[in-house]
Amino acid sequence: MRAYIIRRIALIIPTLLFVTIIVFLTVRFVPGSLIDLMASQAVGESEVTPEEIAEQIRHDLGLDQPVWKQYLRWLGAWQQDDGTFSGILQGNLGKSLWSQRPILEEIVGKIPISIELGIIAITTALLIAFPVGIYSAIRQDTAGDYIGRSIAIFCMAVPGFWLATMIIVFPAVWWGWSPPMSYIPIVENFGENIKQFIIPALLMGMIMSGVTMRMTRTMMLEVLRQDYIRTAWSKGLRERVVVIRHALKNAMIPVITVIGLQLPVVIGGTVIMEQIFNLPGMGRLMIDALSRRDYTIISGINIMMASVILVANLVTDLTYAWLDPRVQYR
Amino acid sequence: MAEGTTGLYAGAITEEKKRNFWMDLLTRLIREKPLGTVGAAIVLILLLVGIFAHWIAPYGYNDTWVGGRLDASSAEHWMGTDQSGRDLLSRIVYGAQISMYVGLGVSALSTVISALIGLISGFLGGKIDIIIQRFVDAWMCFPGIFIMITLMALVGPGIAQVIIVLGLLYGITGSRTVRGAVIGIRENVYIEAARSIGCPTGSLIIRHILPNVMAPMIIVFTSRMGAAILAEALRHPGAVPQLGRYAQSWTPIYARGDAISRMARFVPEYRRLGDKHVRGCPERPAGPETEGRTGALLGSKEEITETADEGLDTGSGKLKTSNAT
Repeated sequence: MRAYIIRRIALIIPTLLFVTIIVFLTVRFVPGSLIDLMASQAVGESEVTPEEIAEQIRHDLGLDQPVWKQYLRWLGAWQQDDGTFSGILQGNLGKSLWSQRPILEEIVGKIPISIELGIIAITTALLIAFPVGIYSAIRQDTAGDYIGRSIAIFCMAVPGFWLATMIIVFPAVWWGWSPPMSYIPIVENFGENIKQFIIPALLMGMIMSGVTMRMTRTMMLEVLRQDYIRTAWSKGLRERVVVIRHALKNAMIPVITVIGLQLPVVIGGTVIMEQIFNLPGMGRLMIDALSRRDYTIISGINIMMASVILVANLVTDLTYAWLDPRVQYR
Repeated sequence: MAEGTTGLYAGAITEEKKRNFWMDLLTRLIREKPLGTVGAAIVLILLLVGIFAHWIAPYGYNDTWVGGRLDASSAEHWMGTDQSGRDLLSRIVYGAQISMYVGLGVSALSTVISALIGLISGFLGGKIDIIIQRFVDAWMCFPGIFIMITLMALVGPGIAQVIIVLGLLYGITGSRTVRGAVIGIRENVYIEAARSIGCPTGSLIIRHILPNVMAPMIIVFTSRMGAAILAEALRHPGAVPQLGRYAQSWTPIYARGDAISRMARFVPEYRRLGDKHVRGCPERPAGPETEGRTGALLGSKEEITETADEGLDTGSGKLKTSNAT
């Protein structure tokens, strides 16, 4: 087991390298170019043609170098023009091509928003999914089960953006109330900040809870039919012990996987909620960068998200072994 | 003799059972799984509407009615017309076609991919699992929208391409769920028993593992369906222009990219409305522009023609003239 963990951790680095190389390359093949946009905006200030300006910008940003050299420079394994090394290895994510601000600064300003939103959302999702899922499994085909499942299907089916828009529009019309407009950092005003985050986060949580709840219910039903559960019942154990201690843990593996797949939302954010509730989070940064073809920001976000996902997947895999001691990794 | 009569009797029972099998199944379904039956009926109806869209829709999906723009429902247009004067009912019916194709296609494809990767990787384990899972990890590390843009740029627009791209996207990610379930049951005694009597790996996977991971796979399948329909609909115009044609699906009616951004543009106005009432909002007095826009979303027709035009890409020229006359 220990050997397995060490091997997995060691493999994170090549996987990261592989991912960043692919993103670094493909983002440059996506049609449309930031340089042309920048050049067309710079035209008119002088006599030079857009092509010359574009050439100049490319040179300034180091984009006239071969791609492998650009990658190594970004990684910090190749000298920059001034002879220094500055890249990921030195903890420098580079600068945005568009705003010229350091990417770390851009991300640091936005990541707390996504993390706060994500944590509240995931907590909400679990708080809905587990009780409802377990209840509707142990009371299969009762009214409570139907209500619970209907809620889950509602959560999965209703488009989040629609619900979000309705939640903004109708309270504003009926009661003249709306969530705070501009982003308030949590350190400045805790109450206002929570007021602002709670609606989008609860909505996200509701949407995410659907799958988890269905998965919990189905897996619980599978496990509750097993012989050892019947044995537990016939021993005269209380319902809570049978359900929580004997059934739940054995039903959890696919549920944990689903939760693990949802975790990256904490760092990646969701574009739609951020857009509608006017929260400048990571999702929006990503979309803006993609539509501007701001390569360096895309690569920067990519490496952060990739690290989180790789760790989340590793933790998920290790949780299997904790949940079910029969699971062995070789 | 007694034997003969019982045989006859049994035969009669099976015959009767056979005759009523479908009715029997239906009544049992309705009695025992009412929610599922309702869901199946809805899906079936939508599927039929999609398949026979050509015969059901009263008009073509792009037939424009000059002058009849954003009409309320009438005998001619049961659901009224959209911003460009097209019959909404027809567009919803044609939209059902695309949405059902994409929904079913993507969930079927992604489930097959998930099952393949998950079963092989989870059951074989060891080095094979480690290697396959690193590719799955890598795939998950690419942001979904990034994969969509790049792949759609490579394969070009079209429903089949949307299905393939979304199917890959969901299928590879979803394989982790299947793999997890396989790992969970791999160490069961019956698997060991099957292996010890010399059951080859292939039939072990298909006969003994697959039936036991069906439950999570069905959940993956069903949850993908809605997600795929929404993902197909949620093509942000700036970000993913390549993701399919958007003339035909449900998108134009209820979730087209620019409809969302248009809604999103109204949102600040509503917030302003809210702020005005709650806090007096001194820096943003309610100008006529604010009032107009908020009115627009609530259904005042004149205002919509003013404000919504900016976001529209089709037919606005024609409509303007029709408005003037």
